[in-house]
Amino acid sequence: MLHAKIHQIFLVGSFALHYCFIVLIIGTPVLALWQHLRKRDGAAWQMLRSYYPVIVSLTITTGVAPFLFAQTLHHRHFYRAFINLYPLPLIGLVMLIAFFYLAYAVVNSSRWLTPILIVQILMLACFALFFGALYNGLIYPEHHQEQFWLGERPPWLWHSTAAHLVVATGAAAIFYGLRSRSWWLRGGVLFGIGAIVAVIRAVIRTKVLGDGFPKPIIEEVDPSIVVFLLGLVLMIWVLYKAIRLAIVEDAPPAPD
Amino acid sequence: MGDFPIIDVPLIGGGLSIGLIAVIHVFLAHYAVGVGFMLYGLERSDPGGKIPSIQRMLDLLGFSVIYVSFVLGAITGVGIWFSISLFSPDATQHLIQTFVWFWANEYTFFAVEIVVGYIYYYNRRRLSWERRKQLTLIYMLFTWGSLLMVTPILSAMLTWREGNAIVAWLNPSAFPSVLLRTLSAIALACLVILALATVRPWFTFSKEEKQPLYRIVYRYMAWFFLMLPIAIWYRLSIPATAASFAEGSSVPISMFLAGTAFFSLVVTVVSWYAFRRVRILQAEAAAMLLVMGLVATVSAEFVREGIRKPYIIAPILYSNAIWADDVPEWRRRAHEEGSVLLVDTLYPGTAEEKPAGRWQLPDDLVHAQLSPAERGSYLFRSQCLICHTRKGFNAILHLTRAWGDEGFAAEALRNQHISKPFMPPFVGTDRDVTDLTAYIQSLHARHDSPFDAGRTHAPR
Repeated sequence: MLHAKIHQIFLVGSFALHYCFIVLIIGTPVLALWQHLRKRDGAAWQMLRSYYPVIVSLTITTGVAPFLFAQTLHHRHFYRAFINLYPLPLIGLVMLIAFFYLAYAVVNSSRWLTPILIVQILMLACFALFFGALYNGLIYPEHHQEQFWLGERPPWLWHSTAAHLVVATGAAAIFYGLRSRSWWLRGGVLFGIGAIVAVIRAVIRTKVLGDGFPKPIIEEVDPSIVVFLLGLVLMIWVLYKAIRLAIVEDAPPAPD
Repeated sequence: MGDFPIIDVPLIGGGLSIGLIAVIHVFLAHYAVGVGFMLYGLERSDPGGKIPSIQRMLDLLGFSVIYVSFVLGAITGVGIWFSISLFSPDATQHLIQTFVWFWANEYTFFAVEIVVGYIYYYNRRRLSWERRKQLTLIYMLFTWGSLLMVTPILSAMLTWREGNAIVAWLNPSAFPSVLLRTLSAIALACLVILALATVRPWFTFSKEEKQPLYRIVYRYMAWFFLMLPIAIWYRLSIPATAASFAEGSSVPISMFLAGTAFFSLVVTVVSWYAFRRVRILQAEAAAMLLVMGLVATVSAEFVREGIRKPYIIAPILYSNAIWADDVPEWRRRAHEEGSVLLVDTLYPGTAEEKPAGRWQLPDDLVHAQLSPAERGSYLFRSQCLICHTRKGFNAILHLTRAWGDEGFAAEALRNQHISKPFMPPFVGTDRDVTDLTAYIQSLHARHDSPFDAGRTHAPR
């Protein structure tokens, strides 16, 4: 029971973090295009022209953890659903590579920005459909293990995907629109939105669909969790230290 | 067998699909680890940032990490995970469930690698030397940490040890594998640096200006000779049957091992010579060494994969996704039912209990109504398709050309694990063997390939 709870908490928590970057990866180009067409270089535009590839990278990176815990919790249902989504996952990866380099193209080029941006948004729309299917396929795999492409899709699949696009763009607008210059506040608001979405998904799954949360195959807590918890603490401490190394100015040399 | 649908990838097959993605990822992941060592080594050796060739190389390495490792390397890493989930779900499920906290730990190391890599790249020019050095030290430790976490899981697939995850992670070939991969990662990064240092206009320095850079790189390369004792340690840690494949009983694997050994030796000898004289390499020599390093890396991966046969996870899970302990039970129940396709999966008492052929047989067809060749096609799908294509890579058409008649074919299938030790045992009844033979014959007929093509010359 405890083991299952730990996995469930990590799935919801890591998905909340991943969702923060989904908000930014979808919302940034949409808002940037809007600002660009209105000849205003707002915060979204500046982000797109400077650190958007970092957002892409962190979206992928933070997506790995929920993918891991989805596998431990849904186990064989997960793989059946995943196999039935073939070749979607592999096509998605190739598109992701193209999208990543396109993000660098926006940062490094000064010409063709509007068309590149439109292509980027179109690709994002494709991703939303692709990953919308993937997410729904993987979050509720017990419901459609068979022949995903042959009509066994849940009826709310596209509605859910469209809702996520709207939520992500809206949340990004809040993120970029906040007048506060504090990144802690902005990040906190973003994580709050991610957490709300992740919890809503969990509630829909357990209460509305009535499935309850799935459990991992192995029921006992493995001692190797200690290694992970140490690694997690180390990660947080080192990231804090690394960010401080980058942003805190060196003290001026002491006068003689 | 039976628990998951099997994907049919024409011509290249699932195994090669995984391999193609894995080869790219192995290069880039090793390169990222090696670059971690080199970034720290180069930063540490130029305190004032006054040696232009070192500073320029640091720029190039940072650029390559951000634009290549973090894009292609990271996404192909996810790609391997996707592809093994698609084509080897049984093994993936077992490894994920067993090692979940080691995977999670590897992930935390990877996350630090990504964040620190970006911090370093975007701030390198404005940070003090002390801070750059600290950032590269963190980057080096955490990229190597992710290698340390994941390599024992890979080695567990060859030298599995029963017990909890820590026991399985500390398997006999874990640490020699970690050391071998560490050295090969540093080697790859060093060889890339040597090659990059010859490319104009990226790197335009005189021989004298290049000397300090080369001196540091050669200092790392001088350790390559350690590969030999570590390789011997690795050899002693793996099962004798696995080692025998690389030592002569399988010609292709032995040749790949010979290739790995030869190219590694050449790189080591040249490195040692260059280290002694601090030689500045010409572009052709640097490119040749890099190609040799890449070939040695690919060959070593091929050997590692090859010697694991007939298992995916030795000695518990066969390469066709049949658990070794389940084989007698599969056979017993196949004989009771008349065909292995009619046996329920071996997960009794769960909602997963379904006919083994469920994922292979169309729902609306009844087993008995199918022709032998049609039944054989589903047997092929469930037991052969994971490794073999029909016509293409590792094609069944090519491998069965010399089988001759049905009697020979039936014996070959029944005894495949004896006559070819890298094959798993066939699981099924005599009728299943006949059905599979009929299917293979039908394939030959369809592709106009005579079943006895290997016997075109009559025996004297």
